[in-house]
Amino acid sequence: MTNNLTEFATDSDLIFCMGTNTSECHPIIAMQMLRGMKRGAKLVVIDPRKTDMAKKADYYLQIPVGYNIPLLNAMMNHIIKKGLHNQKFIDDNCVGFEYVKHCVKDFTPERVEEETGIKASVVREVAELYAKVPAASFAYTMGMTQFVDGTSNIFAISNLALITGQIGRPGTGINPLRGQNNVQGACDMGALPHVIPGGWVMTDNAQKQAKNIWKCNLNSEVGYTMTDLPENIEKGEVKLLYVFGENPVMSDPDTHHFIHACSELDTFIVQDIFLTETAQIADVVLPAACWTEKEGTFLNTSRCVQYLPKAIEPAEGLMPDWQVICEIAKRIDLYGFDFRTPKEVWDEVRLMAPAQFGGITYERIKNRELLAWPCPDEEHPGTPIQYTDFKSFHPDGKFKLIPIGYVDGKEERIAFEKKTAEELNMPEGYPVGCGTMSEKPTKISPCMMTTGRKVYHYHTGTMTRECNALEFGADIMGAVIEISTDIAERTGIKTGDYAVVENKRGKIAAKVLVTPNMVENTIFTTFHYAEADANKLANAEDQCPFSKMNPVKMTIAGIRKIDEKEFKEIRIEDDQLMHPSELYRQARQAIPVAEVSS
Amino acid sequence: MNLSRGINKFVIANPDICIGCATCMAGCYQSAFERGKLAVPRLIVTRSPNGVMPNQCRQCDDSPCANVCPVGALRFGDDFIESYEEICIGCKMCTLACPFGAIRAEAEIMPSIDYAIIPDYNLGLESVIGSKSVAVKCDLCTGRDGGPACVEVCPTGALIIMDGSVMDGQVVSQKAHDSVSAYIDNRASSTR
Amino acid sequence: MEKFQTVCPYCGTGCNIDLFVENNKIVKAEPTEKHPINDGELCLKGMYGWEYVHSPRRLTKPLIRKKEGVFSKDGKLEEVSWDEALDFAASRMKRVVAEHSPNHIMGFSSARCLNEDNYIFQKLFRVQGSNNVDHCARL
Repeated sequence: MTNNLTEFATDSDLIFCMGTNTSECHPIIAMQMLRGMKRGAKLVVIDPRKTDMAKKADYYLQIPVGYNIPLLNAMMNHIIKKGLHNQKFIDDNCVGFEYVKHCVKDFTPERVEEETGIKASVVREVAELYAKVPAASFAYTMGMTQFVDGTSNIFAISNLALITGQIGRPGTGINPLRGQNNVQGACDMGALPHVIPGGWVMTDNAQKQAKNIWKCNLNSEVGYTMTDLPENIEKGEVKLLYVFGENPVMSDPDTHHFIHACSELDTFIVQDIFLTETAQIADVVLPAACWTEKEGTFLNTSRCVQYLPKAIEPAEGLMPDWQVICEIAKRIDLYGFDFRTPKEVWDEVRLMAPAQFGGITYERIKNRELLAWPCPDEEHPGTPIQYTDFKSFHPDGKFKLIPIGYVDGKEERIAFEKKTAEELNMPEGYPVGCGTMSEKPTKISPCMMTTGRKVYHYHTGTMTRECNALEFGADIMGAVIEISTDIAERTGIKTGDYAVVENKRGKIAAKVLVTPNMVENTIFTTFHYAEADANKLANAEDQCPFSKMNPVKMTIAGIRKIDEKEFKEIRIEDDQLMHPSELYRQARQAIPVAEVSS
Repeated sequence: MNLSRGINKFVIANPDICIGCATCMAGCYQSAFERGKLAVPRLIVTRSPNGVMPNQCRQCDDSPCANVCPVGALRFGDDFIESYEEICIGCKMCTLACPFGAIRAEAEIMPSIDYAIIPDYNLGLESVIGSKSVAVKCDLCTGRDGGPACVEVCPTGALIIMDGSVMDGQVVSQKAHDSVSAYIDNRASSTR
Repeated sequence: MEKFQTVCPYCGTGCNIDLFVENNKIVKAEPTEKHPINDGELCLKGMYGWEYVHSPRRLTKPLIRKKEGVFSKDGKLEEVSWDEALDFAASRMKRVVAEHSPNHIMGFSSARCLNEDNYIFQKLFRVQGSNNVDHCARL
């Protein structure tokens, strides 16, 4: 986030939510947004599902799944046409305005109306509102990123914010709401193939820091992404996989392919607190102490480092994760893993990335100072708002505006990028973005399918499904398949019926909930439940060319009604696929979920 | 004059600020569990095309459920409808009689069943369960320190407890005042 | 009963929780009053999502896939000592790096765990010469 999340409540005049189900995925951020609305802020929600926030919005635009770029470009088209863009901000701080101008000229609000039924006048009003308010804050989550054009979607957001100068002030900026407690931290700690704390792996600074502090030569080539992993295993390029605190069997797209690929590994190490679906297919499983059983820090979505004390003793023999990893490193005779406390680890992080974390000491955060990076020295108050000087991270300090187009099929993408670069006579290496649909409905898979979370569960349910108040209190539905009313009419499926959703990658069975809140011809389900995991159907073949993200939010599928017998058969088959371990089955039988007392 | 003397108190949500986060349902479950009641939520977050709010017992003054209960499991209390789950016979008459869908026939979750495979567990969509059910409804967390759990845990303050004084002061008197003011102001401006 | 101010382990908001602990067991969670992020409020996962910590299904012993007492891909997961599990993991990692290359090992880190955990995890791969570290920011 470029801003602190409380600025929704205190400063924003417009909260622009796109691809985020804020009240279910971030209830407390939704609460802050509501406080902002009480103060007088306007709310715009754009989503294929009429979420609870959409029902409170001043404007709600129900777009088809993946229709992000045409809409954002149409807003920019109107803003530029009406002269509502901030020419001074663009001249002073940006490059590439003429590229964007060129690319948005075909995206008129009328085109949006023609393609989606959303009134052109509404698109125009929303665009003018965004351009005119003193402080507009853009909030988004995976509903923008988990597409084959995910990065281009984000480029489009940044174009919109930059041409209107909606950045770098209180309550004004671009705010991805982070879905996991420490996803910001994991990125900043270098758990990415291209970056270490200290910079991108190929940069001089990162190389120098690694040499000085780690006493090793840092590989300067970017590593593999998780989305490339199954293929890399099958090609024999990855022999050992070490998964730590994640459950990719359920959270990664195309479950069958993932499980199959993992079976070809030489060694599969999993470190987790439960015998997850992933741990059950591992060769070595290492348990560890969990949250509250160890001391350390998290980095929240507003880039604030927060301290967590150790509150309880873990079961005998359990070490914090970092200590387990250090033990392995020592047994490989690696240098630099003699840490005794998490504070010593954090102090090395501060040495590695002094510009970001130099001033964030354990003492300060233990005193509950809320410090957002960058915080270079111990007197520094942290940086809750980024870009207040309107300078980007590029060497010339200018923000790049990226031309973004939209093509009908993914095959046309490369040609479009080439054509645009030539037409505009762009310098070598200047990015061009392009949106497209990764899959289109077919005769056999006539519906669009998308995924998301429910408020009472979290990710693959490893933790929340062990909590009775969540599993039995708030979640009274279990896994359900939500379908739009037109699918219900077409297929005759009613709420409460059993149905199977299937495509070429797999199938899941659950009861159906027909909902008027869904955009037409769309199926929605979650990936919380091992017994009906939406990711079994998700597309792992296509990737975003920039980030290598799979289009998890956009799949095609067919749906048909089934009887109870077939439902049970599919569920039993799924159970065997997800839970192959006898140890797991024994534990489940010995301690049934419902008997675990609070 | 106290307009509301003798009315039952009840919990109700303000849909303008309810975000549908279901914290109330988890709190309700936890309260029921801790008080030794059947551990199920007694209020259900319910979505309509234009909004969301939890639905629960209105503690009707002349409640159809207490009138229809053959064994006195639902009774007229001092200021709400009391519920005695232990003597409920599971006849479900109250479920039929309740005009708000706020009483459900629920049963204990059975440890021997793997609900991921056996499909009987889908209570939000239907309350057909393979064991003896009891009627559950909001009992205002009787016996819990600090009153109803849902009101306490709601992060947006959408849930409030409506008792006579709130009813009087914030609803009836306030609305009466507003409407009289509007009427007088309107007359004043039109006759001026 | 002892009180610890900690941070919620679920979404990225970073709400502060007052955790009450008695006899090494969490007994309840309450929102931290007047905290700038969550201002005395919590959602259901923050308030009730701690029960998993005490779940009897938590793993407490390392496991290795074995058949007739030795590691085998066709075996079943069996409880082993910490020394055996750590030695095994370390030796397999060492062997893959030596026999193939550092690029043949890959780590999938956790956005659910501490900064310290993540830092050490990626360092383990980087000092062996592999940049194949990722986490679920993508997913």
